[in-house]
Amino acid sequence: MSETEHDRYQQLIASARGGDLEAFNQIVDDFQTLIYRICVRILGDASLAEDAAQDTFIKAYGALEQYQGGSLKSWLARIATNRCYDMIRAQRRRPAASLDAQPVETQPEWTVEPVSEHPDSFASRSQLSEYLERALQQLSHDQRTAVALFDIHGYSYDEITDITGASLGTVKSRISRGRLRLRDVLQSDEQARELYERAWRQSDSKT
Amino acid sequence: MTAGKNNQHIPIEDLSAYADGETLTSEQRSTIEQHLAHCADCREELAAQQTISALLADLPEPEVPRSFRLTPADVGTNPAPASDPVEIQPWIVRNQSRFRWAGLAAAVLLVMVITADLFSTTGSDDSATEFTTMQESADIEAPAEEERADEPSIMSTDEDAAMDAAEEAAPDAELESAAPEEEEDLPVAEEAPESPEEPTDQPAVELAPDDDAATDDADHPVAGTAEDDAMPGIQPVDETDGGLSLLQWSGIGLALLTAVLLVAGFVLPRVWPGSSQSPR
Repeated sequence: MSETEHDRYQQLIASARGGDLEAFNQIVDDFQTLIYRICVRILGDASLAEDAAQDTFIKAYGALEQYQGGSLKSWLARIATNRCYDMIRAQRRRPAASLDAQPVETQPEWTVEPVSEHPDSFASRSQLSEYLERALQQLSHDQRTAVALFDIHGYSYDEITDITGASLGTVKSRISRGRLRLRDVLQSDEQARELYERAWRQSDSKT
Repeated sequence: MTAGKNNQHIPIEDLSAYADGETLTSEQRSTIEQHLAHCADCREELAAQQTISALLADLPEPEVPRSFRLTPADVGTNPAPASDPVEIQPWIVRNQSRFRWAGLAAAVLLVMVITADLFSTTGSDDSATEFTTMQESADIEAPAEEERADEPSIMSTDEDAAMDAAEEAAPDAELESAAPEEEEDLPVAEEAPESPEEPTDQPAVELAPDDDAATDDADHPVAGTAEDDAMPGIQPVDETDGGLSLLQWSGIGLALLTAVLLVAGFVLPRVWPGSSQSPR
């Protein structure tokens, strides 16, 4: 976040504290995609994630007085993460409504990557993405949250300790072991293993 | 935390931190690099961390299904909060169903009292002893019934004689059950007592002479005093034949209570300025 951006958010928050809902909604505009995606990753369900994202902004508006002036991006992510964990706990108490009611990973319209490479490479890439999505669901919530926050949403280790309340050592462990588990899950499927090894060679040749 | 010596593999946490360019001192960094130079296993682990990381970063991400902008309803504030109606209106609306139930319960009791009273009037008139007993108990409990003072009766009848034990029990029970409802009743008392008062004024006065004539043989033959004092005073009404039984007074009080509760339960929430139809 650049300095001017940070200043802009501080001003918007000051206005929102004074009851200016439109100022707060400008923050919503800027962060809703990120927050929704975080919720999708943690919950693995599109409609639950929609509720969680909406709750996050309602809660954030109500808690504006508690915002200390740090990273707004982390503050919102912390609220979203807590909300998602609350929902997961609620789901566990009521097992009737299943978490995988609406699996998000099978929606093909997300694959909007440019087809600049070979068509073959593109096909295998999106196929591997599908395997990876499924593998992500096999991680523990804590591992998936940490891995997603770092690799997908671009938070730093320090920010993740701030968001999840875990120690730095725990965050490091969750990220590294989460990735290892993903690799193991991919390698346990023959086709996925092949696709993974192809990607592995590519990344190896790049470095 | 620190990477091991050359023959020790690097902890996976440190490898991933190294891959991610995170939280390592330059000393740790160089130790890791020295180890990686001759350890194929650790190089492979590092490559795995990097590969998975790159694949995750490439995952297609969903677009938001809708805007999450907040509306005033979401945050529960109105642009111009009016303090006064907001405070009073919810009280009425909030207690709407209580008033309704209490009102219906009072109405049921009222019907029971009226029925009991009808039976008592159509019964025999000659059981003077029972009447006396009833009258005494009424006198004892009289102070408890405050409404007696200013509320004339619709149900004034010629005599109260045939009051049996079962009917005697009714007003007591009903008084007790009515008592807690009176508390709810208090805050709305000003606007409620409309209907039952006015039509009852005249009958009470007019009926008085008839009562006296019909019940000459009763305990208190001082009809004249009762008639004269009927308008300003209270006690004479109680003590004469023209006075009403406890059952009847209860009926009057109950009728008023019923009216107040029904108005509070059904009419007020609807006509209250700015209140919505449904509670909550």
